[in-house]
Amino acid sequence: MWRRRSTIAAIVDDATFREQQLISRALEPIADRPEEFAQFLKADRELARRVVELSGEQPR
Amino acid sequence: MRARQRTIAGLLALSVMLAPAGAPAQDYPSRPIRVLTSVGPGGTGDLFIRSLGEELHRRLGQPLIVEPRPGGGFLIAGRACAEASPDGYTICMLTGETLSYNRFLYRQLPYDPDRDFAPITNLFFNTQALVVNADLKVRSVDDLVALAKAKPKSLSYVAPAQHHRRHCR
Repeated sequence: MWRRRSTIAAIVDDATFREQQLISRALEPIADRPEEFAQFLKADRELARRVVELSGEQPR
Repeated sequence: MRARQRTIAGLLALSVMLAPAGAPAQDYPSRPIRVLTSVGPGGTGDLFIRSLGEELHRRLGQPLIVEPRPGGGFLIAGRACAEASPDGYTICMLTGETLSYNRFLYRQLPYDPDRDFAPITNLFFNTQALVVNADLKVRSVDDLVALAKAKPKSLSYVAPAQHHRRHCR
């Protein structure tokens, strides 16, 4: 799995690929490491909890 | 008036996935890899994963077969991903709805976002925009909120789906 992530990161880091497949489509490249992504997901989950709470949306 | 927000598209492996059982890791991958996605064909996420797949095919020697599973408030893709065999030949591209938001929007999920998936990488942030008709003369989110409060029930709002992150926002 690590090898594949490295392969993905190498592709996303390629300047031509970034420009043609991401930036030109208004996508912001990331390709972070699994542990960084896991940390991000924790923070995103907390943001989601707050957004849903503020919206007043009820779970169904 | 415009307000931007960033949303994620993450690539995840099924939990316990390292390499196919019974095969040496150096032989991996020895057959096509399936990519389940929560986005529909033709959108930016779909175009991106197909482009990435072409490059991975060239570098790994095996094609990526993209299987879009859109709809159902992003539950369909989450369930398909959770139920797929953790043999190293299925990976998933899921969004923040599946991973972060649905747990607060549904009493029961057909997958466990914390236990069923293992993160590989966050691929990209996608820019979302809040826009209004120019005739409304609204210049900021604060203006929009003030107008909505001043004229209750006079504004209509369009979001990609009901009971959805962008619906909440």
